[in-house]
Amino acid sequence: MLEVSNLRVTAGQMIRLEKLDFVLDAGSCLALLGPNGAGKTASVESIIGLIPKSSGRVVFDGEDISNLPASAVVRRGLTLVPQLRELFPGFTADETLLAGANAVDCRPTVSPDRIYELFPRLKERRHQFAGSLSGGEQQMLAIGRALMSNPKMILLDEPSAGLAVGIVRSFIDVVKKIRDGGVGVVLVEQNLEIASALAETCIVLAAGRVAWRGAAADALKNEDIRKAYFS
Amino acid sequence: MFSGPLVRVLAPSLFLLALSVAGLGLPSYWQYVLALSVSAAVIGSALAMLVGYARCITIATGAMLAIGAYSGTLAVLRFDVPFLAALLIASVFGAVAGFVLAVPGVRFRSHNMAMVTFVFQAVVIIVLRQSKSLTGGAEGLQVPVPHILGFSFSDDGHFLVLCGVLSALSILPLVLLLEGAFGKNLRAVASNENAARAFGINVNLHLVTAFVWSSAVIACAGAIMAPRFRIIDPDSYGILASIFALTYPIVGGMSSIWGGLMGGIVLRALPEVLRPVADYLELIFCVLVVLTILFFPQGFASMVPGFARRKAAKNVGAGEPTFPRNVIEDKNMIERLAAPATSPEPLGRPLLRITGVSKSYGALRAVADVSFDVPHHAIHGLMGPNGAGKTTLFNMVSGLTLHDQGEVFFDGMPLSTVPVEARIGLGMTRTFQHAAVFDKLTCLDNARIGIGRNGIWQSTIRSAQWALSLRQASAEYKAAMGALDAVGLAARAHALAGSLSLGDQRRLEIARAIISQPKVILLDEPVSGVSIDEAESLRLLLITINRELGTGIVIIEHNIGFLVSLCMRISVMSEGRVIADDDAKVVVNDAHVRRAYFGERETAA
Amino acid sequence: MISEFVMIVVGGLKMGAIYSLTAIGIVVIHKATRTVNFAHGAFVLCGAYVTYGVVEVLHIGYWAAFILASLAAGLLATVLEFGILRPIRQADSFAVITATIFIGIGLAEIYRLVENTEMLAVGGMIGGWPLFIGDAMITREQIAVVVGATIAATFGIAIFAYARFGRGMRAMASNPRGAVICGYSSDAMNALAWFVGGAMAGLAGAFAAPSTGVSAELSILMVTAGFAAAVIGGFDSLKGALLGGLILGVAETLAAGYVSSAMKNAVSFLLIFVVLLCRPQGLFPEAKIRNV
Repeated sequence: MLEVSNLRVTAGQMIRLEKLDFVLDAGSCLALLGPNGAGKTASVESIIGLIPKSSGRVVFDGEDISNLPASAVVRRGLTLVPQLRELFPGFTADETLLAGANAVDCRPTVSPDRIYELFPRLKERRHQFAGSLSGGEQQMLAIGRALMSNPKMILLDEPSAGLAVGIVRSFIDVVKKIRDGGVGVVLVEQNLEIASALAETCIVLAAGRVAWRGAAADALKNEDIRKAYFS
Repeated sequence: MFSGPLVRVLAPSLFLLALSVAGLGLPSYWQYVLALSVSAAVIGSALAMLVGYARCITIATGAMLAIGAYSGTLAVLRFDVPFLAALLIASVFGAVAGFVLAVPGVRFRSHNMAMVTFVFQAVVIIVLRQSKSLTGGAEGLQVPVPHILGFSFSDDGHFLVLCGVLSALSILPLVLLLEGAFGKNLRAVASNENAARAFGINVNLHLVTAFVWSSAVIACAGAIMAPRFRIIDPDSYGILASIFALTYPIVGGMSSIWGGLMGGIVLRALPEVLRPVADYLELIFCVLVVLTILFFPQGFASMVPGFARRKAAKNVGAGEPTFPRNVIEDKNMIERLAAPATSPEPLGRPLLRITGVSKSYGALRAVADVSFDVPHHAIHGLMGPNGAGKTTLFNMVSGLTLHDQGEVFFDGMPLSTVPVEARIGLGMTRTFQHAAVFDKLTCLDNARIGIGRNGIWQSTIRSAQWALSLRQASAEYKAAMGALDAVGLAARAHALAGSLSLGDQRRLEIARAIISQPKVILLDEPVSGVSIDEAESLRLLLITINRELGTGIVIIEHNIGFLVSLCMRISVMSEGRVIADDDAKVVVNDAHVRRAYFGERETAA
Repeated sequence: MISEFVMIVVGGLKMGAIYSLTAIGIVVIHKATRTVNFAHGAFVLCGAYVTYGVVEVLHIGYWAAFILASLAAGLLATVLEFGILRPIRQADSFAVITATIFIGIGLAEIYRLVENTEMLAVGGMIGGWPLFIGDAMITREQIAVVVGATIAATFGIAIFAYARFGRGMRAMASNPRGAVICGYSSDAMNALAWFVGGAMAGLAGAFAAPSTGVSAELSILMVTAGFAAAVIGGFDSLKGALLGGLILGVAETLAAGYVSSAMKNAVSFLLIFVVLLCRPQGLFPEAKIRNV
């Protein structure tokens, strides 16, 4: 469903990412791993069109979306939960979800109630301002907003960053539910354990290039991966 | 004495003088127009300082001209002050007005500053209009013919020369400051405010000073032209006068005095030349400005080849650089330096002592109770996963953020009382995550700013020293070339920093950071985004600096291999706390550290 | 005494409501595109001019003037943004402010050259006998303007707050990246914001035309007052702009009535200055969150 070929992203003279290729089917999960600065965020943000690509091709659901702006890509069913979440300070939780529902062309939207079923803690806070929620609740809201548009595939950029261990566990469950519901997931993570719990395949990035790729189970054991992080 | 810098400083004045004298052959009316143009050239130059260098939008030029014109005229009329002394008085009034305007103005930038100048402009005109008894109100004030030592300047030709001489003199201090260290500091502030502050440039003071000088010069220009108008009234100094004065630097070219100067001459003469289409004049001006902004953002001056940058003079005296040479060429040295040193023995008081530092943003504890020491002459690394609080901690040490609790001691001195601008004086410099070089300045100028003598008074003195090619200026030049040589950038000394590759910009940052021979440099991700070879040569450079100069280094990096091969000790942060603080090799194998990066060992459900 | 006071206040509210409309347009544009639009006065002039055309030349009713004035000014604003300002903004945001200053003056000049007169007069919106409250005389026109302009302003605020595309504009204003991943197109939102901002200005021009006439000076008058009102309200708040305009209008007429008419002009400037000095965030500062 999602085909990425030879993706390259530069920022001024910095090469943030080069030669990224992968294919992902609906209902599967791919993990993009690597230390900071490896190019993980550059990958997902350029796939969705939030930042420009220097070169490369992205095909989603049979359509070449390489040159589409992000707002158009999202309308075709590929959505992103960014690393910084990018919520709206003056919006309540409810309103944020409604904003997320904007991104549909012909598909029926998800009702906010479904989202609240997934995140019961959020339901209690539906009329609170997004800015006053805790880190974990903001993350739930960001994911919920992305789900409102009933996407076919979702890119998650470090959803567990800065969150307490207990909340992280519940996120793993949520992502599993999403994946099992037939939605493809590209998961960007630094944390190897979380990634291997959710993904079937892993790609490890280091300094902007692919350093290793293979099955998630192998990633846990592989010493090369630890080296890629620590050198 | 007649070296490059002095010529540069005198050239605009000589040009104005020559222009005025050349105009003696013109008919009387055109002599009048030329005098207007020369005056406008002065205004344009002053605005180039404000709008071009300091990036402050000002719509108060008309008011400043009025202040100068009225104070000069009233001094002559009411107090029988001689003309030349009256000009001085007018300039002082202008300077004070500039100060009064700038002090609230510089708290803001962009549109709010424009609003403050707008308010100033309007209020001054209203006051002038209302003070009938003093200023004659809306009917205006008659201005007497200027006399100097009994000679009366009523003839247009005589007045033109007088105007030329006085204008040439009045822009002299302006040019001196702008071409010298003060102008460079202003450019630095416009390039990157945080970096400018980190190297001792007090932004607000510099902006206020720019306002004071340019207002004084503009007021003087107003006082010089007033006699030629015979009658001055408030409405001719209204908002439209301010807005049209803005066109001088915008169309002429904002990034240099010459742009403002030429813009003033051409645009002030244009209405006279375009007499036949006088009705369309304002519209033509507006279209001209918008087209210039769209297609020639640097103004017409940038179209003159070689104008934007001039090659500096040749080496002012050769001399042995005091810094170690570029190590990359020396293969033996490379091998010797390949292995990092072991930690030095702690000698008494640590260089940097961080005790119990915390910082919260609302409910989020970014940094929680962090404590560690960095001894003198050490290379200390700081690492950790995303959101660990490294950058926040770093910013607290370098002064950009204030901590909530705890204290940072630098060589025994608590830093919470020391503003950012003062830290270079203590011996602390830094680099930035996104290569914060001053892109519109040359590498040489970037390094010179690194020396740190950037207070207002110091930069004024340094401008004079440079213009007169005094010994101090050449010493600065040598030190700057030495620092550039140490990082391997000597060949690019006169290149604009913005034209350098990323790796070279990072080197330039290091040159700028070491030239003041600080006790410690703080490096923020110095190798992110550079190639592997470049990272390796930066590593060797840092080791050399530490060994040969004894400079301490504290470095944040995500490239862990780089840190391990460079640092003696590394502190690891996670979720706001320090979870490990030990020798580099030990830390990397620590189980806690691995867990922080790779996650809890738990059975996947 | 009291009746004089009432008349002064009503007069102030009338001009104030017009200032509010102008200010709301300025704030909408700023919230959406982070552009400080010094050309805004020209949009008001455009609206007033169209009103003149509709009422005095074509002799159609005033209701048509409101619609056409808003459309014309809205269109002008959108064309300006996409034609001139966008290319400049991509280069240098400092230059955008200067460009808007000169575009504003240029547009006023074009008007002056086309019409070649000092001022065009426009007949009143509503005729009929004035109302009396005690000794205070209040014209129907005053009531119409105060009520009409305030309703229009409130309507503008409501659209922004509740309507679907209003939500999109607010989302785009508070976090463009977040809005984009919700499928809002930044081009479309920008166009909308400039259109709405311009339309508000055009409407203000339609309301102002009978009392101020149509002239190039109207452009400077309205941009100054609009900015003063926006600054008082806290530059990013629509409610603040509404209140700021009313406060400014009443302060001006009070100053003119009880101090001197010269003070009237000075009042807007002094208010701007005092607000910037003492409370730069204005009456309604915008909330910000820190992203984790």
